[in-house]
Amino acid sequence: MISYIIRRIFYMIPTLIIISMISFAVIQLPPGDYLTTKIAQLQAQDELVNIDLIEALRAEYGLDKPVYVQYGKWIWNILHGNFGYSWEWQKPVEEVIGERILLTAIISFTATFMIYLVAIPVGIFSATNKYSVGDYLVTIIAFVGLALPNFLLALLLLFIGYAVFDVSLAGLFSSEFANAPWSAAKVGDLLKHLWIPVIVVGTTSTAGRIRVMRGNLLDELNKPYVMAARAKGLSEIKLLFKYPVRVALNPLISGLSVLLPQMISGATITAVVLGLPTTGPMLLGALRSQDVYLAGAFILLLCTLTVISTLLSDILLAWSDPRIQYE
Amino acid sequence: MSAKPLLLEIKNLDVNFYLDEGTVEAVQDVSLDIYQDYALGIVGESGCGKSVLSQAIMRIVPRPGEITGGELVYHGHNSHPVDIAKLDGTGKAIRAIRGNEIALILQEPMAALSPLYTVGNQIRDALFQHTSMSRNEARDYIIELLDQVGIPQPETRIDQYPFELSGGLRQRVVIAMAIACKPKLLIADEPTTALDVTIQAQILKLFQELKDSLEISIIFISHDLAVISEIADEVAVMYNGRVVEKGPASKVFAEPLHPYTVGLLKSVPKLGVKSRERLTVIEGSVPDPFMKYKGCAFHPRCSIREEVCTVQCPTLKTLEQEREVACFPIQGNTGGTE
Repeated sequence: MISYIIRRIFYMIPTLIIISMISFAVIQLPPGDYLTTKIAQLQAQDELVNIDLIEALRAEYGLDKPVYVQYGKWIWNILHGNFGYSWEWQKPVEEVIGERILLTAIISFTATFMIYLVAIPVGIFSATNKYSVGDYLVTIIAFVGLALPNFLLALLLLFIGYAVFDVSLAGLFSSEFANAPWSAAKVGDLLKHLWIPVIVVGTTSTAGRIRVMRGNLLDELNKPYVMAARAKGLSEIKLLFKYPVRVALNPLISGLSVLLPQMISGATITAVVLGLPTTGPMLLGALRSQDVYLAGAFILLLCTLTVISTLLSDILLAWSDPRIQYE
Repeated sequence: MSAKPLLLEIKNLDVNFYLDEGTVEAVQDVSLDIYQDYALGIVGESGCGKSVLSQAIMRIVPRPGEITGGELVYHGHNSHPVDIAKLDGTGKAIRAIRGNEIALILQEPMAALSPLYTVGNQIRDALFQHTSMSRNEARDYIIELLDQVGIPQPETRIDQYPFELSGGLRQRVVIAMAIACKPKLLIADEPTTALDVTIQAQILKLFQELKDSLEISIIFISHDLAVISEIADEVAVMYNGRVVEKGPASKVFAEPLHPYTVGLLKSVPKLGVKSRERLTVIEGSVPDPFMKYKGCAFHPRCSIREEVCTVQCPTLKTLEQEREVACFPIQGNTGGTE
């Protein structure tokens, strides 16, 4: 087991190097760079552009160098803890990303927790009460949840908030806390706002996982080993959780591997609609304005998290299902 | 047979499956007596209702199947006869019988074990359910049990997963699981079918030994008459949910009465017979489960059918020497008194 994990971590290194090269190249693909975008913006505003200054900046940031030189410099700096400078935000990338990552992580973890907390028991209920009124009700709600786009649900909740309760539910903080330093009151305010994005982000996944859990469990419920367990005299609840449910959980465990990267890139549209200070909209903005180092940092983080979370879910799966061997 | 005390009386048992396509009468009007220290063989082709019958005795017929009539009077339990058919299907009373008084060995030894738990863990279930054994006591006992069913190195096998064992060993594990609580009745549903012939013989021998050493009653279900005749005292032949013939195993095997039993025996290859000779087949096909047959369900395939067979359904009637058969021409009773 230990040697398997070490080997897997070792394999991650070349994967990450290749991914970082490709992603850096892709970010650079569109013609021009951040400065040309900036020039176009200034010209659109009828401002004079000092060509000499632009060229000086370009030389300073190494934008006149070939791509591989820029890449090498970028990676070298990252290895020394320096993720570069965000031109758009006029701040070092670490500073720009920091708090957003924390808030995104809070939303994602809460949402994931809620998704599994709801989907597993509801899916089990739905399967064990197949074709009952309760099952049909769950099925209908799940299909609506699957079909409803997140941003629409976000708009609906915002509208209901304004129209019925006369409160603004957008954002993660009330206006007085938005730029305040962290305090107990700010955390309380965050918790008050958190449930909206959690519901919006979690609905589709919950609905999907209810269906997965129901389908898997239905497959398992008629397996002979379940009948064998029943023939031993075990109570229905005991045998249900010991035997079929554990097998049916496997796809949900492997589904965890998308969790970490989703924290960064997921729910961008929802975040835009709800005005959430999370990473999704920031990544989108960085890609659009060719803010190379900010976008690069995000994508590198995304890839690292994908590789790590795949490893984590593989380990979890191997722990839960003894048939999976570490070969 | 009547010298031995009764253990389980199956009286006029009916099991129906209510499907969207119609009702399947899987078990119809089956009456069988199981005695203590006795083995009954049940033989019949796929879909004849023999597995459903075994599940009905345990009250684990899967939905949409249901016991719709009859009694299952069990005499082994605290000397008070209990009608298992009347018990709550998930209640405490039936669960105290399942795995403890009556145990079931399922058809497929490969699928009857969960891949997620070690062999010991799965055998432990019944022990923890029905006895007050501690973890360590259970472990020692299970090792003993695995040794008893002929599993080598039981101390290491107990911690292995089913997929690490061969088919024959898995079947032995399933048997150990069934006899863990020393049940009075063991129902074995096709326990040798999924195994190759040499292993089949070993497992049969094991059943023989268990029957002798544990003084256990066995209902042995198979589609193979030869296998049954080796182990059973009596044999019941089932066709389309009904018992069509019953009698001492050796006699039924040597001299079958019902035309279906005759056909079953002829369709099995025998050693020493000219190899160019073709096997006899039973004409026609397996009965359609949704079809309600007027008269005897076997009559469309029967070579000796008479007029009465197409209108009336025969019931079991005793002929000479404890032999019962449900067939008008054989009974010689074409009047068909009910």
